[in-house]
Amino acid sequence: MSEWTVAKLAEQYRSGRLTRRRLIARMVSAGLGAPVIAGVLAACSAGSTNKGSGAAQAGTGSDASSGANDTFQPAKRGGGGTLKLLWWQGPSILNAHLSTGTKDSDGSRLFTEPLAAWDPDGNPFPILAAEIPSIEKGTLDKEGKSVTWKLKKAVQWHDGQPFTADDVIFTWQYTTDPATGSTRIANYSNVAAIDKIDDSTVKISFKDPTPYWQIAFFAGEGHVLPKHVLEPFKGKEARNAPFNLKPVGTGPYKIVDFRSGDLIIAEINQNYHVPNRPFFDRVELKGGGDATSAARAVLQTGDYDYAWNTLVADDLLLSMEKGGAGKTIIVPAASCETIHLQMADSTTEADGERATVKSKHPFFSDIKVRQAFAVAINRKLIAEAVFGRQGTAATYVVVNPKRFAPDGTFEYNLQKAAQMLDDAGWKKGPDGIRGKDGKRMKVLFQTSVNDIRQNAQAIIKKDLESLGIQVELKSVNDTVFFGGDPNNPDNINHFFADMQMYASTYSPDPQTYMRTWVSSLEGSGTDNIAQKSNGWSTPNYSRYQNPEYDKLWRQARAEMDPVKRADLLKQMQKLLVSDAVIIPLVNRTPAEAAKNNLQGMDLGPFESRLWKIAYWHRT
Amino acid sequence: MAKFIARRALIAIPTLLAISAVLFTILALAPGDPFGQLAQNPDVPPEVRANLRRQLGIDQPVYVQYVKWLAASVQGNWGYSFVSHVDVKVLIQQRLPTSLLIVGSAYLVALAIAVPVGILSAVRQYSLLDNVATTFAFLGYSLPTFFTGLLFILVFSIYLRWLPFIYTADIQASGLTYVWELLRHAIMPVMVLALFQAAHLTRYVRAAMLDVIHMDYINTARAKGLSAVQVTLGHAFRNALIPVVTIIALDVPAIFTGAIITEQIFRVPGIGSLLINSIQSKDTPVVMFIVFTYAILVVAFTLVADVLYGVLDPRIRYA
Repeated sequence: MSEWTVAKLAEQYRSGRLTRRRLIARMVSAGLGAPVIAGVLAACSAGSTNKGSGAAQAGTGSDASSGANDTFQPAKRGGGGTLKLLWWQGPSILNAHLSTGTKDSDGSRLFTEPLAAWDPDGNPFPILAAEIPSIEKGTLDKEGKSVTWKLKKAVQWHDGQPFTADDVIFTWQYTTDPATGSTRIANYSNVAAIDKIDDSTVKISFKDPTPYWQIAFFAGEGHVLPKHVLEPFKGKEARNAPFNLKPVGTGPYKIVDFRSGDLIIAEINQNYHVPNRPFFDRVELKGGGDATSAARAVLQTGDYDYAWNTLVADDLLLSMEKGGAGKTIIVPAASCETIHLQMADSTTEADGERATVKSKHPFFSDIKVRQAFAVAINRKLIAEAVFGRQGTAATYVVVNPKRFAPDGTFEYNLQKAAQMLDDAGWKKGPDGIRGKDGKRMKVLFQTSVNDIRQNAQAIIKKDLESLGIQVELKSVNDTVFFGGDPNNPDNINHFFADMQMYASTYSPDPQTYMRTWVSSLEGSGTDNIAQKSNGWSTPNYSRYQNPEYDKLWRQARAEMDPVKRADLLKQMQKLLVSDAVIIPLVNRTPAEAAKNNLQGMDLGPFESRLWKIAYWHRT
Repeated sequence: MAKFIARRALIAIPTLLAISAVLFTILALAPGDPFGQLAQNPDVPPEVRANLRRQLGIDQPVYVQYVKWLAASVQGNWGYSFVSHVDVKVLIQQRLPTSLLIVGSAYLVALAIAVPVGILSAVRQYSLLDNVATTFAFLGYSLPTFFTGLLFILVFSIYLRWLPFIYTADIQASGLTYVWELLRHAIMPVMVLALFQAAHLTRYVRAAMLDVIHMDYINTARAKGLSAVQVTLGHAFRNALIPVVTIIALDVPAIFTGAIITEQIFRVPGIGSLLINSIQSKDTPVVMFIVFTYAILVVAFTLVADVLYGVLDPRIRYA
């Protein structure tokens, strides 16, 4: 077994003890891909100026919120010509409540709108609401039992009908009818009733105190539907509604033509409820193809104005940008690539079940060992070499909105990790592998099939092996890995491995996301832990059990004071990291491509890329 | 003849049933469901996915799903897409004209190249022309469309900036401008497919002609004093057509199902790209419709090829 790490090699290369050719050969033999090696070389040359763990990475992409300080104030509606958008996964349906993915929410955003949206900083931004409910205005209950929405007046549907409180109530009834088959039904699970106060006021009553009330009628999942159009299509008839393909909304654009998976053509809504908006007269959204050629069509040839989710290796994006037609926009995401550690023993079977909640992991049950692993992972190198501009090294999982993001730095120190493992009693054996009481330190590390993830795995494996830990890597096809099939043992739910790596996205309020590590929602059982009896459907896959964590989570669930609540959510994250049940790796900052003269997009982590389409403009 | 066709059609029924059962089972056994993306969204609990699966009936055992699908499709009801909730037939209607235009015209171009080149290669065997044609045929045949497609894009779109590489079926123009724009959009995908097809058709035409031109009746025709053109086209080519027609008839179904890779590269909204997207999102009704229609067309055109044999070759008679 070779006694080296990528970091050591990089150090030797930097100090001139290793030639470039030798360095590349060693990394190739470790199974690292070409983009990673290029990244390591780049990180080496930049490393001298950018040391210090956890330092923010110097991205060269443009400011994501190229709209926050936008001063464009048009004096009239329209006049901007055609806006050409490229989504490499074409929207397949334009009813946001029946959509199965972001592409569909994006497409419907041109036509239908929610009451309010999330701005890039995670603050509510009114759209069909006249104002955001608040305790001061008396529209938000102190106990969190109800919220009153005042709707914008004189808003018209595309067919000229007025938008009223009835439409809001209908949207709730439509979505919560199980026969409709809406994917958003759970957003209203805590809603007891919605009452019409007058034509432009609705009051939502909740079953339990609800500090996170901004989920119903909010953002991409909360589009309001026209009652007069969809009433005959509630329930079983939902799929036959012409609306699904020819939506009638309140949005800035009206549908002209839609071909599922291929093309949306939309024209300006001359009666849009925001004065002098939108700027573009016509929008064409073309779907299909692949991310690389989509980026090319914007950055290199300039045939299109904007390309969604350009999931392309960073060095390739940089070379395309030399074409000069467009720029890459780096957008923070509500998503953290995280390594999860298994707390139960997945190698042995007890009571007919592997990794049962009663079992203890042979070494991850010791907090010292978990912490040693956390120190042994080179997040900075992974962020720079593997993700480039599209990720920054993470200390905690939540970085957006800022109010839920704890401060802190991580550490990478292999000597310290070795010392910690020695102290915990895991000494190196004659074969170089650590062991204790006849047990060997051997980990199975799984993730989904994805170039980026395999490259990160390879870097981590090298570091762990240098510590005397035997590492077996496993990668699973992503439809299986994330599929959640109770009969398939290879998914994240079963977690029949010691470490697993993936990224999950979180809402502007991380309460639901933080449920991932709760052992019991009420009482003191293990009801939230994935296990055979619940078909591995509950989110605590790590089988983590910490009463202190559960207490904090339940407190946050009912805490109405936003400051105290944010503090609780931060404490929970700190607990997870100090307890080392997770090792946050990289906060994702994905890339989008836009023409140089396109402005006003105001992109953020919690919203569809098109949430502010009415404000897009060309300079 | 009518009896022959009827018998063949009857034999086709069990074949098609077996094909549909195998296809359906494979699709059902593949991992994932149309709601895969929802699994990574923490706001969508597993119960919601279970409810959606129930609404679509994909929580039932495979054989129940299959019988239901079969019963409905026999009555002409092919179902609706799990993803877009659009009737499958409507989806196909939207996509078919584009596929026919691109793949169909590519095939015509391929024939227009292959027939004259193939004939000349055979007539002037081992000449310079034959050698050049053979070299290009092998080159064209061994270069996959995803390679030539990307090569074309690099040369004509990125470096020369002559042609758009994102196909638009909806062109905002009329008259000659429309034709010109359509040509600009269609020429790259058409040529990529045509060159590939032409390469193997050329080889067939050449081989078929070579078989024929050494026959006695060709010598007889020459001895009668007929011109070279009359001999080649009237006597040799007509006989050489028989195997070529079989190949062409068997290629026709592929025109209807589009070209998966080429359509994906150029974003041509045809049947091929619909098929690949539907497979990725586990949209069983759409996949079944396309693949099963392909199976029917293959069976039907094999029959057509057999019937054409009889028309072209008086020696063959069916009873």
